[in-house]
Amino acid sequence: MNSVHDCGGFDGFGRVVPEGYDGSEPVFKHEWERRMCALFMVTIGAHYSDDEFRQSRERLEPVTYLTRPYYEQWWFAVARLMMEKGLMTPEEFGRHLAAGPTPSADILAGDA
Amino acid sequence: MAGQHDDHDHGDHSHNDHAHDGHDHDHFHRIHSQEADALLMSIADIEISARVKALEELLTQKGLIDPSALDAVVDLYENQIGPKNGARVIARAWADPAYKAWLLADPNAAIADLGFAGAQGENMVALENTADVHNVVVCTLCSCYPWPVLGLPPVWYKSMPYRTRIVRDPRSVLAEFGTVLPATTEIRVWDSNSEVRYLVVPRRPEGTEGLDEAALAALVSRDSMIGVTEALSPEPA
Repeated sequence: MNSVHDCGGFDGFGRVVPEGYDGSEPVFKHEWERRMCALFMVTIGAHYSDDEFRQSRERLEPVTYLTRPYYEQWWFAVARLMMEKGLMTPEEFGRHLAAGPTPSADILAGDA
Repeated sequence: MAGQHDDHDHGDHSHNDHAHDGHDHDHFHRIHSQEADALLMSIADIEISARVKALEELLTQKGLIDPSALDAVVDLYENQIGPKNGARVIARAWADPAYKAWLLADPNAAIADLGFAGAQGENMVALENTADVHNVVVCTLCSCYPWPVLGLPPVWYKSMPYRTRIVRDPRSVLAEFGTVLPATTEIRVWDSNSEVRYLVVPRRPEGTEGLDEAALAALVSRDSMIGVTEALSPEPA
């Protein structure tokens, strides 16, 4: 697929090295990144392939791709695959999100 | 520049593969994708932590995932698999010429010999830095990275600035990392893909004769195995 992800050689994206970089950084900066990475790890292979995951991310609309953080792109990619494969419907995902998190989910996410 | 930019094949064909399933399936698939996209965009401004939590909850309710497995799997990549693995490989290669030759000739076997193997590292290539050639690794299309030896990639590796510029102007990127190479040193940029992952073997620093493998491994930084820096120098005695 030919879209913004195929970015090698583009000009104008600025500095690479973050301010104050000392060669190390935490693996995850936020709890939601840790949870999203884990969600990916336990669903890939079982519900979609490596290639399907990459392609789902590459199909992100270009402005979304360029402006959303890395693990948020993973959220888009995994949620889309789950719906495309009929494992959840857009209606039930939207309804579930609107209903808000349940207490048990807070405990599961480790930030109750 | 020896980057293999054109040999990427990140599954762009999978969508077209639906064609042979027949028109009806293809039609169904496209409608479904549009509905999925519409839903995702309609909720895209809700706090991301809430969106991740909702996805985890719904998949758990449906019995598609086991929530107790989530913590174990991230612990593996957060605390157990990381660049210390790769550093042991490099230190062994510095200390043992036979191991180094093996690593360069058959990296999968040599790396597995130290106990490291697994997802996202199935087909490894080891790239030896010399006085004349400096290797550096990128994944321009996404974030392909050798997980068994380096863990999960740093933020800058996955960023647009790195992915765009390292293939066009590697010297300026290396300089940002404080790596200034002689103009006569050839820089080779290797573009990872879904099948092949690279591990740079940095040059052994001066003044490390007599150090044991553990002391050598402490000099092998993650960034030196990606190729944006050289190995650390030992503290003066």
